[in-house]
Amino acid sequence: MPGLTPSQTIGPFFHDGLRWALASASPQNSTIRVSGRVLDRDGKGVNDALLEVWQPGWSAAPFQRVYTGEAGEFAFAMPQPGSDQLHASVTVFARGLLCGLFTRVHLHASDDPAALELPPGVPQAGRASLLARRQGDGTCHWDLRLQGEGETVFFEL
Amino acid sequence: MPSAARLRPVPAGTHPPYLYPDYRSTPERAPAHPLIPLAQSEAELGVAQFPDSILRANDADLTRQSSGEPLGQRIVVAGRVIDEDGKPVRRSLIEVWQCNASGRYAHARDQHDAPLDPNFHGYGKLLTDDQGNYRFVSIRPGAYPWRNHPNAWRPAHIHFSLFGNAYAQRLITQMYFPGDPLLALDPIYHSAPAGARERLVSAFDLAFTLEGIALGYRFDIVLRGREATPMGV
Repeated sequence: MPGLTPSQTIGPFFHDGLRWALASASPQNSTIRVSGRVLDRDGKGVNDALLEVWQPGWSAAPFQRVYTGEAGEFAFAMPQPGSDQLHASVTVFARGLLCGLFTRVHLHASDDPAALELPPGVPQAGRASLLARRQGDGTCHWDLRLQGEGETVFFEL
Repeated sequence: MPSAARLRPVPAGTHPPYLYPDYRSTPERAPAHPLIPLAQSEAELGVAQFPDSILRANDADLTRQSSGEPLGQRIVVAGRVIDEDGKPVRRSLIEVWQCNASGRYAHARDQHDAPLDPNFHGYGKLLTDDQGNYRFVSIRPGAYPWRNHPNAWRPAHIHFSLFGNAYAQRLITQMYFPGDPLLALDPIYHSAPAGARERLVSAFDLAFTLEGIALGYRFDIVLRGREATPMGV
C-alpha cells in the first residue's frame, strides 16, 4: 500500500497563486455576512491565513475561498438559517500551520451555544467557539482562535 | 447523492505535528487542545467541482505566462495522484506555486534581496486526467534564506495544493528536489516524520525529460483511501 503524502505548511506566499478562486464577497438578500478575525496565541491577528468555506448543500456558493487581511480579518457568506440551525465546514491554512485545520461555524436563531447540535466529543468549554454571534447590523461575528483562551474547536476528519 | 465510502483514518507517522518548535512560527499558532474526531458525513465526502473551463492557456506551463522567457533551468514535473489503494484520483484540482530561479517569489511580502524575473510569476493550476496523471512545465526554483534561525535557507521546493475527490482529502504540501543538501537542515521538511518525509522528494526521471529543452522530475502524490463499505450500508 503506498504511503500517504505528508502535509507541509502553505507558507506566507500563496496569495497570487490561489487568487483565481477567491470568493467575490457580495452578500445577496438571502445571505448573511459572517466576519471575524483569525487570532494566534497572543491574540494577534494572523495576516497570512487562507480560509476555505465548504457548504455543499448551498448551490449559491458551495465553495468560498477567502484570505485574511492585515489584522487577521476575513468575511464570507452563509445562507439565512430560517428556523433550523445550519453550519459550514471551514478549513484554515497559514504559515506556521504544518497541516490544515478543520472546523465548523454554526448559525442559530439564538445566541446560546448550549442550543447547538454539535458532533459528539465537543467539550463544553469549546461549544461557543463554533457559533457565529448575531450583530445589531444583521451580520454575524465569528473569530477563529488558533490557540489560547477561547481556542476554536478543531476536528480530525 | 450516492453514498460514498468513508475515508480511512490517517495512519500515525504521516503528517507533521502542529507544534514543531524548530519551525518557529508554530508555537503561537499550533492548537493546544487535541483535535476532536468527527464522523464523516456527506459534506466531508463531497468535494468542490472544478470544470475544465477554469483552466487558462499556459496554466500548466509556467514558462509561457509572459511575453518573454523566464531565466533558469527548465523542468517538467509530472506524476500521478492516487489514493492509498492505488486508485487514481481523477479530474481533481492541483494548484502549484513557487519562487523564481533566484529564490524570489513574485509576492509583495517577499523582501529577499534577489532579482524578480519579469517573465516568471510562479503559479499554475491543472486537473488530473482519468488515470490521475498530471504534468506541468516550469523552471527549477532557487533556494532562499528565511529568518527561522541563523543562516537558515529553504531547500528548493514547489508548493502543491490538492483537492482530491473528497473534502477530507484536502492536502497542501511541498515538493522537493533529489540530492538537495539543504534538506538535511530544513525544519519544515523534518517536521514530517522520518519514513514519510522522503515521499516529499521528487525523483529525477529521464522519461519526463524533454530532449534539449527541460529536465524531468516525477512526483507521485498519495491521498487518503476509502473504507471497503459505503456509508449507510
